[in-house]
Order: sequence, then structure tokens, then C-alpha cells
Amino acid sequence: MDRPAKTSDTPSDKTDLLEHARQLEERNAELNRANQELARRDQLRTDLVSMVSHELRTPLATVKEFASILTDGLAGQLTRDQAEYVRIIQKSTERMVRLVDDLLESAKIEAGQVLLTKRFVEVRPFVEQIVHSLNPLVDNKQLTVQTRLPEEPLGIFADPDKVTQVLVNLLSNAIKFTPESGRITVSAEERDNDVQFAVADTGLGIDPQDVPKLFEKFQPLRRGPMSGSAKSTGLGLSISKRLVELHGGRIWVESQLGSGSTFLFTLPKYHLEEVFTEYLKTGLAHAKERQTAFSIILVAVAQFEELRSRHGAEAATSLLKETERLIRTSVRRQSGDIIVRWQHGDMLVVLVEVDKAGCAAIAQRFKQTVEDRPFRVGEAEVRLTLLVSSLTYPDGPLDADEFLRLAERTLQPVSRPRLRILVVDDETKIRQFLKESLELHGFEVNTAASGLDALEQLKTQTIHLILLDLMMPVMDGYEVYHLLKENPSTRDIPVLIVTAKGERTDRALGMEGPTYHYVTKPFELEQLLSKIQQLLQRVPQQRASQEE
Amino acid sequence: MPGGKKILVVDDEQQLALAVKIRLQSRGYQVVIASDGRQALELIQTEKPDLVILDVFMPVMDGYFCLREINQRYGRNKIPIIILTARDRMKELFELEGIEDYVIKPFDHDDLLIRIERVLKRRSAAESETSRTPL
Repeated sequence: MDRPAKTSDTPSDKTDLLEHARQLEERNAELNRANQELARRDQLRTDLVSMVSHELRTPLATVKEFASILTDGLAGQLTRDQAEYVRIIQKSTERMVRLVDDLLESAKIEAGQVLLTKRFVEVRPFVEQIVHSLNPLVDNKQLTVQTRLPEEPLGIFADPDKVTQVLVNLLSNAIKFTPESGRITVSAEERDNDVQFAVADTGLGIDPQDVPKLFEKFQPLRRGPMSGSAKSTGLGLSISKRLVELHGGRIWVESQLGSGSTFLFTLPKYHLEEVFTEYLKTGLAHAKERQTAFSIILVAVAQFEELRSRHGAEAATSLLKETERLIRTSVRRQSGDIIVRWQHGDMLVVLVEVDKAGCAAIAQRFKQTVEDRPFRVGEAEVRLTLLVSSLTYPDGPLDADEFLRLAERTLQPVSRPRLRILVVDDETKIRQFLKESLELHGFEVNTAASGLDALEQLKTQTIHLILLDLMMPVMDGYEVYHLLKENPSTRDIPVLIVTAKGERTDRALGMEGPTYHYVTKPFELEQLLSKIQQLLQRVPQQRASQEE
Repeated sequence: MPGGKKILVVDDEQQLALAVKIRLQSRGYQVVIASDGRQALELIQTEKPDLVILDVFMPVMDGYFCLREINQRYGRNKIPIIILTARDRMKELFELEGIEDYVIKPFDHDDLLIRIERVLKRRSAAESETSRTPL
């Protein structure tokens, strides 16, 4: 060393300055090299993970196949012990397969190879279906699963497969870590521009010091003892985190040791009404630009509300799915898309480059395909009636703006307002019971404690059906009934009379013909609903003609 | 009913090929096994299988090359092929060459059986169709 090391760092002359700059440059270059090396190693590691995972799949397949050849008795009958041991092999193999799949998925995400195929997903039916699919796991441990989901249509714009993956991951963790007879709550709610999902359990909770590491890779969740196949791969949460972030959302956990955990994540929301309009606008712009035609068809299952109140939301939704499938097949290769509003039982079919004649033919085909076919609901067989209306651009003098306006107006009756029932009863408990049960079955419900109150409400509210108790103080049901029938504006509203057993109804009401219907207390809800449906059957047609 | 249809299983992982063979035989299929693409081509000629289950990564001749060779010799889609591989992202590539199905290892054997049955059914339906129409 011919030059003493400087203790003061102030470069005193030009040579020092240059030297300093050179050193800095060198260090920068070094850092760059190190960065590149790190990136290269990252890439290598990702490639390695991916290769190893693929290589593992074939021997795993062999183990899995031979195990099932043994359990299926293809190599002779097994003793009880042997069968048990082979099942252990199968369980462990399943776990390995899951691990390999998770590793591959993780490697793909890191390599930026996961592309989202976003669609419009309506939150409620989507989450319900996922929860439903996990029922067997839940039943095994006698857990209670509650859902708190929005009544109103609420949509996210997301890749349904990926979101399913996230929800299944969180739910199966919750199932794993919640002791028998515990409770899991799945909820979704609107938060500003997001939909916030939450999976809460009554499990052991998470140690606060473990929380920061929770979403990192290879952090197997350790929350109490569990057996072989229940062990997690330590990748699920890190994959979930990346998938949520890819959607532009975030994921976190709120937990206290001993009092359960809540995993929450957000996804950007998307309003179905916006979706409709956006589809219309894009389709229209496309048609204008290419000077071609653009058509939409609105399809609604006429009996949807009725099916829903008679057989439940699930059966109605599955019928709708079946209808959608039929319609999808009959659109065939036509460049089109279908948006389904499960909540209301209708679909918008967007057809690009299809003119008026083509559109009419397709609409006709939908109708035939669906109406010709019997559907099964439980034991019963139903035939559906399809309400179809269509709109094409260009169509005579119809310009683009008019098309949009008309289309948006056509969409209105499709999102049909729910039918409103007025419950008139002086007993608070009965009013409450009826309100709750009818609301559960998709009706809007007004209540009135007296006849006067009911008549007052009828002046301002559109009511589609009245449930009327006969025995009320001050003004009884008989009186209310006659007042209703005398007034032209309320005359046509169907009235369902609720009487106690043994009461004579025909006496005071006289023979009123087809609008006179009653149920006797105590009634079964089923019976009441079916009467209501019978009475309401004529109503949609009346409303439809008013709207035209 | 499979009706004794013959299936050629091509896989260099001999144990897996054996497992598939046992499973298929239990359903009444005849099964022949090849451990690479070249052997597969020979067996196609001598055994005339009704369907080929083809692995992709194999020594000597891989599945992709083998498929292209089959197409060249017998014509595209003449012999029904189901690809059975650990790789999940080559489906499109193979579809361009004409395959009936693409199954990923590890697979569900019931699912594989259903797919095989579906392909064979489709083929025999198509055959009876062409034999009815006079040329």
C-alpha cells in the first residue's frame, strides 16, 4: 500500500473525485450483475420446481393406479388390514398429488404464466355453489356453515376458477382448523368499489407472531393437531395471496389466539347493470365500425319466480343453468356471448354480426329447444315457457342512440320488480312471521296492523296481493274486504283471506267468484305459498301488458 | 360394451403402462404395450389397434414425433389417439395434429375409461354411418 487510506471522505482534488466516481460505477455494475444473477437463479429455481413437479407426476400416477387396482379387487380380494393399508397409501398419494399441483401452480404464478380469464361473476350463487360443494367435508365434522350474502345482485369481474381456488383454500383451512361442532361463516359484502369476502371460523386462532409469515410460501399452518392427509402443503395461502393480488385485490387475516380467525379478501366489484350497458356499447361500436349488424336477445323463464318460491332458489337456479346450457349449445358457433342474471332468472344474449332475420331465427330456436324439453325438479317434471324479445341494429330508421335507449328500456322489465304482498293482521307475531317467511321466498312485504292502516297504504303503494285476517278489532276483515272490492283502484288486487279453523267465511263474504280465496289457520307455509302462487299467476301478464 | 377392442398403450414408464393395461383388461379390452414411439409404429402396423394411448416424453421417439409419423402413414385422425402426459400445457399443439383427447397424469382411471369409451363409440357410429352411404 503506497497510499494511506483516507480517513476523511471529502475528495480534495480532481483525481479523488474521478476515483470516487469510478468506484461508484464499479459498485453499480457489481450490483447489476448480482441482480441479474439473482434473477437468473430465481428463473432456474422456478424451472427446476416446474420440471421436478412434472417428473413427479408420472411415478405418482403409477402408485395411484396400482393402489386403486388393489382396492378395486382387480388383483384378488384383500384382507381388512390390507385394504386399510392400501387406503393409507392412497391418502398419502393424494396429498403428494396436491403438493405437486400446488408447487406447479406456485411456479407458474412466479413465472408470470398465470393469465386471468375474467368474466362477470354474480357473487351470491357463485359463493353458494362453492359452499355447497364442500358440504361432505363439513358434515364429517358436524360443523355449521352460515352464509351472509348480498340479496341484491352484486357482481365481480374476475376469473371464476381462480376465485374458486382462493375460496376453497380458505374454506378448507377453516374446516380443518375448526373443532367438531364449530361454526364457519362465509360472507360477502359491498365495500366502496370492492366486494369484500370473509371466511370466519371458531377454531383455535393464530398466534399473532405467526401472522406476518402466514401468506409466505412454505408456511404450513400449524393450528392444532391433525392427521396425515389434513396437513397443508404450506403453499395454499401464498397462492391465494398471489391470485387475489393478480385481480387487484388484497388479502389479510384477523385473528386472536383462542377465539378463531377471519380471513378476508377484496375483489373489484362490477355491477351487472353496468355489464349489460358495457356489452351493448361495445357491441354497437363494433357494429358501427365494421358496418355490420348487432343483435341482442333477452330471454326470461316465465315461471322463474314461481319455481323459486315453490321449489327453492337452488332448484330454480339449477333449472336456469340447464336452460343456459341449452341456449349456449343452440347459439353454436355464432359469435355471441351470454350474460345471465341468476337473481332474476333471465339472460341477455349478445350476438355480433347477426342481422334481424338471423336474430329472429335464433330466438325461435331458443324457444323451441327449451320449451320442447321437459325439466326435472325433484320428482316433478316441468315444462318451461320462455319469454323472448330481441332488438337489432341497424333496423330501419333505428340509429345507434335509439338502439341503446330502447335496449336499456327493454332490459327494465327483465329485472322485474319483486311482487309486493300486504299482510293485514292485528297480531304482531303473525305479521312478523309472515313477513320473514314471505321475504325469504322472494317477495317484498308490507304489513298493516289494522284495516285502516291497510287502506291507507293501498293509496300510495303498488300491492300485488293482500293477505287478510278476518278477525280484527275496530274494522274487521269482512269490512276491509268489501271496501277493497268497491274501490276500482283496489278491486283487482287478489285477496287471500286468513281465517281460524271453523270460522264461517262464506256467510259474510257471499259468493264472490274467482277472487275469493282463503286459507285456514294454523296453516303450513307450503300451503300458503302455493295459494299465493295460484293467485299471482295472472298478475305477471297483467303487468306485462301495462308495461308495453 | 367394449367388445374386445384393442388398445395400444405407449409409455416409457413401464409400470404405469402395466397399471393401465390391468385396468383396461378388467373392462374387457385387449391391450398391447409399447415403450417408445418407434415400437408404437411397429405395433400399429402388426396389431392394428382401435385406439392408441400415447405418452409424450419418451426416449428413441417421442409422442409428438410419433403422432406426426402416424398421420403421415395412415392419414390424420384415421387412428384415434388419446394423449396421456404429465404436461398440462401442450394440448393445443397436439390438437393441431389431430387427437381425440388429452389427459393429464396423474389421472382418474374412471375418467380415462369414460373418455376411451366415448371415443370408441363415436368412431363406431361414424363407421356405420359411412358404410351405409354408398360411395
